[in-house]
Amino acid sequence: MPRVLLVEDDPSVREGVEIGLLRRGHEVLAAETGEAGLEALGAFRPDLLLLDLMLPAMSGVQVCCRVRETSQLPIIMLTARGDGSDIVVGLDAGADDYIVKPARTEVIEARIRAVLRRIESPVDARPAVERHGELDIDRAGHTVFTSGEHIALAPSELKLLLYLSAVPEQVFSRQRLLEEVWGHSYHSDVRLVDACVRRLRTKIEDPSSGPRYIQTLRGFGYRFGPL
Amino acid sequence: MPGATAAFGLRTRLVIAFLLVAAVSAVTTAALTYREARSAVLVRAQDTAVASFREEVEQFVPSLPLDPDSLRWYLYDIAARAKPHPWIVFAEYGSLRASSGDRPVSGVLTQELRRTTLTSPHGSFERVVKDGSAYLTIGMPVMTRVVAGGDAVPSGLVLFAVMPMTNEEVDINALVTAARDGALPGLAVALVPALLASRSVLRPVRELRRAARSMGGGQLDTRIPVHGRDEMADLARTFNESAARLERSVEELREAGARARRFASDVSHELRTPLAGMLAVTDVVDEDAGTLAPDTARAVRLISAETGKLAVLVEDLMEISRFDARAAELNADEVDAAEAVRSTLSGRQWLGRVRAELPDGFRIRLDPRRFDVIVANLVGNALRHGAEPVTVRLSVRGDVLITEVHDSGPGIAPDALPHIFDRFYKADAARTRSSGSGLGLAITVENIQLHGGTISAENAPGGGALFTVELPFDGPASGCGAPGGPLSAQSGRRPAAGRARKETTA
Amino acid sequence: MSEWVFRARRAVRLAAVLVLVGGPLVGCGIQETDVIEAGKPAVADLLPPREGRVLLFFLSPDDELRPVPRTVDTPWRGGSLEGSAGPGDPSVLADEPDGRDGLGGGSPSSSGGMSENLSPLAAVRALLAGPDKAERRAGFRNAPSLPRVAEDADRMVRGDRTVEVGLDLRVARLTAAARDQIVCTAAYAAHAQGAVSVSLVGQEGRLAPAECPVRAVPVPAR
Repeated sequence: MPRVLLVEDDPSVREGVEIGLLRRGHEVLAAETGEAGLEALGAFRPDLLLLDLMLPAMSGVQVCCRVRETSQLPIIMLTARGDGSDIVVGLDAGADDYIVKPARTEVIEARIRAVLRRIESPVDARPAVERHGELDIDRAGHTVFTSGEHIALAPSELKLLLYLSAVPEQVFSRQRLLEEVWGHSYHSDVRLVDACVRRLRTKIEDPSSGPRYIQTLRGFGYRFGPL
Repeated sequence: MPGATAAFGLRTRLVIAFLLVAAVSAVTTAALTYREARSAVLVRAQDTAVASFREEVEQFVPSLPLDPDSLRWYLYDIAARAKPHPWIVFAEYGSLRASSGDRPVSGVLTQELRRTTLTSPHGSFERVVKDGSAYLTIGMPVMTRVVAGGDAVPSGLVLFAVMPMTNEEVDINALVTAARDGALPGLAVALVPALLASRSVLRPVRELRRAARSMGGGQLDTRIPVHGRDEMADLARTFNESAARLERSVEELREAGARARRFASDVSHELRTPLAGMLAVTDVVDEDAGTLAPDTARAVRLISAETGKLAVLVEDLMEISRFDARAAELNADEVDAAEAVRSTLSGRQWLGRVRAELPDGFRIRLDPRRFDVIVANLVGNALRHGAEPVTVRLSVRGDVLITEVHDSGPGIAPDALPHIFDRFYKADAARTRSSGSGLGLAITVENIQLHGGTISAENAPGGGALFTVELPFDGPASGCGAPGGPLSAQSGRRPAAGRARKETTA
Repeated sequence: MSEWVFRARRAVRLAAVLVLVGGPLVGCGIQETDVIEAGKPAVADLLPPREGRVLLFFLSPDDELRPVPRTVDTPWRGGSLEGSAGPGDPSVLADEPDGRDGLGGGSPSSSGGMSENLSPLAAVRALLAGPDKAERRAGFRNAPSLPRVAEDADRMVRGDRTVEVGLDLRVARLTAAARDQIVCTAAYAAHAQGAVSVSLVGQEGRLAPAECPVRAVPVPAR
């Protein structure tokens, strides 16, 4: 069972979520502040970070950024606002998914599972490392290189890239991507996809020219290539 | 004269008023001038006549005692030197009568003039109008000196002159004609300043109208520049003051409304945090309820269930608050309508209970999550309050996608029909807390309006309630939300379409 | 109710406009006037020279006292009161009257004594004799109460600025017009401008001195 680090300032939410997850067999460490959560990272070595967006001193977005500096730990944000630009800011900071409070434990656990789920290689016959232009994708090792240099990708970014590049030049709607990559039901927030594409592009694309690998088709969705 | 003047515009009335004033002043001036001129003409004629008559009489009067026959010759002499017009001279001496004309006695001379002339030591005249002609009649008593160069006594001889005033009549008629001919072009000339003046009066009126229309259009900060200190300026000042007051009260109302909405939003926010904790542990509670004492188990399950409902209610309240605060975002995407509806039905395990008539190929720009809310609320409403079978039908008319949800229940009570989209409206008093927050249809309406669409509720001819949603195909008039747009996720906007709620046709 | 008010206001406004516009228009053309005095009368010398005439005051058909001149062919010296230059003044004129027609209308008198003939007494006697034919034709007459007999005027006493006329009748019975006739005739005979007081002396006594109501008034010279 995955180890979850929960950073939440409100005691009732902290305790409720902790109880719910413990009950389902997770190992949970609950921290009250962002600073405490960052401290606990090294010792606890969690599989996933469950991070409240609105924290008193150090905000969830700041924590998210700090974590992403060193690690590609899966991060799910807990947010009190269903809408609003805070979610977008959090997603741009590197969060893989978000959960709107209040939520039942089963919902929280389903999201945790989806984020942690690995993408299986669609075809075994493929070579271990695919090469697309400057981009080398190691499907088995879940690593990506551009011009031979290793690129650290967050789980959602890696999964999106693997999914798109598995069928180059095929267009996927954002809804389809939400279902396949994030495991969401049909009517979820497509901003997850847009934010993830933005992050991915800053890591693999050449900033001086337009997007090369992840291309947009207005009104339809995204596709990988053609190069 | 409201009845008569209402037919004319303000401009016409002003011009008529100006012309009337001009006419009155022109006519008055002309009349006064005419009177002065007339009296000048007459006075001059009279004075000349009297003076010259006196002069001629003094020169030609015969000596006493009188010879009646020679007297007439003297009269002829006087008559021959008439000035300014020909006159007929009559003489009276005792009972003697003589004249320079055909008859010794005039029919024009009045008894008053005779008596005055006989008794008074002055010359006299009288204007007489006889048979339409005007005459100047002059009476002149003759005094005689008792000694040469000495004092005088009345001689008993009086002379009269009768002078027709034909020339004066002609002159005076010419004056009338001149006055009339001068007044008419004067009136025509007065039309120009009348039009100019009416324009200067009407300009502030026009400004006022423009300002009033602007106010009506919602521009409450509209003000009129105040020029001068006339009545129009007063009107403008009053308008400005009223506008300021109106703006203030609207501002207060708006603030009060905003406060109320902020309060609802704050309350929802505050409720959310404890609910989040409670909702996270409902699973635990539910699982272990079986191991508790029966009463405790029932109580625990009740708490768990109500917590869930409370969470839904708070979520709906939050959603409504966002609509009220105009903070609702529209994340539009192009989707296949049939696929979207099917996804909604399957996601809620309704596919078996709902008859779906969903032709493929209707691609429409909308916010999939909000469309899901619309369809789910309507179908859920039909399933809860109506009766199966429930039908969902998609069709197209013009550039509008029509989504119909039809149930087979008893329909909506006519008195409830106008209110079913109201917040917390419960059509059936007995069904107070059946399920749902009571905000479902209100949220549905808001979501539809966010898309620039309309919804109507009616009772179908064959029975059952029928909800009809119309959404424009081209989306909410903005190209936002396209994939890849850097800010596509935040581009929600209110549609320009007006609020067309409760389009009930029952 | 308001309909009536509107109609009334409408009528008032219409009337006001009519008055404003129509008022000045009334009185076009030439109007009649009353009798208006216009300056001096005509003044002329209608009388023969004083030396050749005597003024008798008869009543005109309008009952006005009018001076009627009668020419005499002898020089007039009777009016000696003026300047009081007369040599033999005051003197009582002859008591006995001369010829009846002492002052014949327009014809030279046949009487010899001119002072007698042309004296105020002679003038009064001529007056009492009544208007002659031409004068009658012009409507002149004597007052009815005046005696028709010239000799009824029987004496004349002339004083300083006064003349006394003796009449052989009861003077109180004379009407005012009759008295004025005698007074004026006597006065103008005695004085060129008639500026003397005349007393009438009758059988029963005398009347208060009176002046002639026909006063000569100054007139500007030509």
